[in-house]
Amino acid sequence: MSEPVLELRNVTKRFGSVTAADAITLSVNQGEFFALLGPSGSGKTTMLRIIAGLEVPDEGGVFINGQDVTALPPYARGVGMVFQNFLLFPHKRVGENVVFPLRMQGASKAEQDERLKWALDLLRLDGLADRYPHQLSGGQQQRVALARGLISRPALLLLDEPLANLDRELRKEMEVEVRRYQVELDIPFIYVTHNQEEALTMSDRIAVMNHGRFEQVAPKLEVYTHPTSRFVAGFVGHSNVMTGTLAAIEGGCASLDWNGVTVAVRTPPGASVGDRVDCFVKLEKMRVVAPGGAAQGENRVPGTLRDIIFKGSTADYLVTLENGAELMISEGSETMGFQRKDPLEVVWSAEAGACFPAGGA
Amino acid sequence: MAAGSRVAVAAYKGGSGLLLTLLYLFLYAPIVYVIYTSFNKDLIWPFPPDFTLDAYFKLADSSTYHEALWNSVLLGLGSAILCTVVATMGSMSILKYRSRWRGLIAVIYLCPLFVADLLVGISSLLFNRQVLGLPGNMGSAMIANAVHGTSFAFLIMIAQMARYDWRLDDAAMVFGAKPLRCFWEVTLPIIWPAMLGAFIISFILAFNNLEISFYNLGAIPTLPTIAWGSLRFGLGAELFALAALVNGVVLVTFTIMYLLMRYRIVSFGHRD
Amino acid sequence: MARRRLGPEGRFLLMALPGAIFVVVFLLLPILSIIVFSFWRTESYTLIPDWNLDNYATLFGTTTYMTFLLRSFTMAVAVSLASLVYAWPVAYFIAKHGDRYRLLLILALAAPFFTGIILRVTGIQGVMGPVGVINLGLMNYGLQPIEFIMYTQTAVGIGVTYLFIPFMVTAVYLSLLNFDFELLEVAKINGAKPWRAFIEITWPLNWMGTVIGLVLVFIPSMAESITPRFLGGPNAASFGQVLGLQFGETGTWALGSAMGVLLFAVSSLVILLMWRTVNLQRSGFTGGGS
Repeated sequence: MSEPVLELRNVTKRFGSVTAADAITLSVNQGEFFALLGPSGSGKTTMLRIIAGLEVPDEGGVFINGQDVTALPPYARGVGMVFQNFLLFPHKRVGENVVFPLRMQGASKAEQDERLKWALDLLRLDGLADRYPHQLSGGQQQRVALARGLISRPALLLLDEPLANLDRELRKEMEVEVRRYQVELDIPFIYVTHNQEEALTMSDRIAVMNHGRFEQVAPKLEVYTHPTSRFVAGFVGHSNVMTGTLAAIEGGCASLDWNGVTVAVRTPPGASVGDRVDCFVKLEKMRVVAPGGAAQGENRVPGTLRDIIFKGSTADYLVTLENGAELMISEGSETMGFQRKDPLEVVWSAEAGACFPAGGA
Repeated sequence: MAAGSRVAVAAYKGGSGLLLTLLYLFLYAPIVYVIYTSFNKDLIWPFPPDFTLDAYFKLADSSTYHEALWNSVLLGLGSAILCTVVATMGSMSILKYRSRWRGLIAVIYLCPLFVADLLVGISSLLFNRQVLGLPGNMGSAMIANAVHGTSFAFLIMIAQMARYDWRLDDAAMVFGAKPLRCFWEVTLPIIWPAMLGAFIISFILAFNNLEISFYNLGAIPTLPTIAWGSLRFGLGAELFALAALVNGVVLVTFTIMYLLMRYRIVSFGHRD
Repeated sequence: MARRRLGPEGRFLLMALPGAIFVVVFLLLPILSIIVFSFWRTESYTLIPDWNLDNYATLFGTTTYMTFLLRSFTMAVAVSLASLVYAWPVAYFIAKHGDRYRLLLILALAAPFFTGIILRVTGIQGVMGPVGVINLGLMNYGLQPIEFIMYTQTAVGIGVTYLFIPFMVTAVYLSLLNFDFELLEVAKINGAKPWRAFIEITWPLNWMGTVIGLVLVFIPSMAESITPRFLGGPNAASFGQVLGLQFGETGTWALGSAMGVLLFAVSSLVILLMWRTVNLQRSGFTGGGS
């Protein structure tokens, strides 16, 4: 396999008593769309700034195409970056903003013109080259920022929540666009976001960050379906959480006493009988059925339909169980003809649950 | 990293810090000299030191200097109040509203910056005397000083308030605050450091202005005009003593401000 | 009951006009009046409306007046440039590293104005005059005194810089206060070395503030009348000094008015030339407001 484009080795960064990056090791390959996902304050922007050279790590090294760039200032690293609030130069026209990186590299005028045309075409900015940034709409400013990030064919492009300031419609549109550019250029994008939908839509691989550490680094599908930590299970996707005590363990299968309801779960690694456990099941992994069917190796819990939240192609069913707990189930909106207060049963497979030792609260 | 680049950053920071320190030294050395001299017998040739408090006793006895000090303070306060009010209204209107007159109004407010003190002084003297038929008095001196100070105050306020988010005012109005109430409850608490800065600067400018005041005060003495008048007989010892005392007050004020900032009691508009 | 509400235009004028009228009446009308008086003549301390060009003929026809004007102009240019070079790093330091003490650091530059100009210039004389602290100190150690700071144009230049450099620092500082330092990071990521980023980003975006600073130093330096009298040699008289004389000893107000008009014209021309280098679009000035 070819050499990774970006490698972080044991990168650590502290701000006073806060550890923003805790011995982070990572490699990103050619053509990969890599998302850094985490809540605000998790250290993901610090990660990006370390890669860009805007912060110097306290320990560890940053390698781009095998070269140690830890000691290099940002302007010698040859990376592109797109910022959350665009940060276009207000005194330069669109064209001047976009060719800025090329001018800094000392590219010839002819090459600047050619690349500029290419970038404006790619980002559909034709005809705007002579405008000033403040004369553009938010979406256009974002495209200019992207054009500036891409024009010099950087080794990799860093994106710091670039869509956070756009409205929902535009964001949806840009998500597809950004992915398109990445596929077209075949360079790695490192995309920082706190929005899991963005990460899931665009990326190939996701690193979920929390308190300066990677909780899980894996292809997005795996992060979604097989979270490896309690934090990831809670942060990615929408899940029902069942907290209870392990009543029995039989090999890979265990039974969980969840406030009087017994449910079958996968045995969390290293757990023993009597442990407090959180079990996460994604909303769409559960189904609602009419009561009375036979259990077929699945969990089957009776309850009462409290409400249906219509969402278009899907609907969320709120079900109150006999133990007083409430579950939310995501189903196709046209399923069945349940009414409020109907008795029904919630069904899910033991395999669908991800269990971890219970969190503090 | 970039050990080299870190060294460069440190060198730049240290270097410019040193320049700042040297500037303060340059600015305050003559003032230290004045204060030092105020404690000396010989004002013209205060070396080697021959300490005495004579200047201060003379000052305590001199009603002329008391009057001059009082007039200076009065002139400073009156002018600073005028400046601050006018500049607050002007800067707020320019930053808040998108009028087609904005450019013109801004230029008018900035005009006085481009006219030297001396010109303001002689032109208002001639205008008052010839056109309005007014003799020199405190009022016209106050106004002439205020005209000049207004653009400084305006500039300071514009620069400090440029980032104020006027949507806050909209929010206050939506929640039922009338314009004045809105100013009092929302705008003022945010812009007061800018107003204070404008007030202090315009006070300083008027308090010690010579060239505007000299031509517009008539026979009313202030500290700078009295200094100017006493030049041909040699500066009075009282002047040195007064300057030393004024600087003492400034020093105390600054120390208090420093302590307030140091212990974060008042931030004076600084956002961490 | 429904009182018609003022539109934004109306509210703008309501707030902005009083101050504008104040400036027009008390600054522009007086200036206008000296322009008029400059075409009159004075007889025994009275202005006589007898329209003529004699005052200007005298001004332009007398070599000494032109020498004074040129001397003041050169002085003002030199002082402005010196202030510019010195003030930039200082203002940058305060804006970048002043932290929460920034306001205090700036006020400390303004505080010397509390001591009147005459005492301050006396103080400068005491520090660097022929028998001032510096030269006495040097001679005390058997060294040569520094001659170029004794009653020379250089001495006047240092004195005038001393008086007005705080304006320059403050103007650049206020400009930097509204400068988005993050833009420098963007420039660096895009390959600009620090000095290149300064030239491409910091300098043009703060050029308007710099121009204001230059003007703030140039205008009073050009009109300065006190400093040359104390620190200059016998041939150091400035235009402002001579202008002041017309309103004091000689009482030739019409000629004084003409000198005032000339001073105003030269200053305005310089401001105009400076202002033409400011491109509002290129200054990053987006208008603000709502």
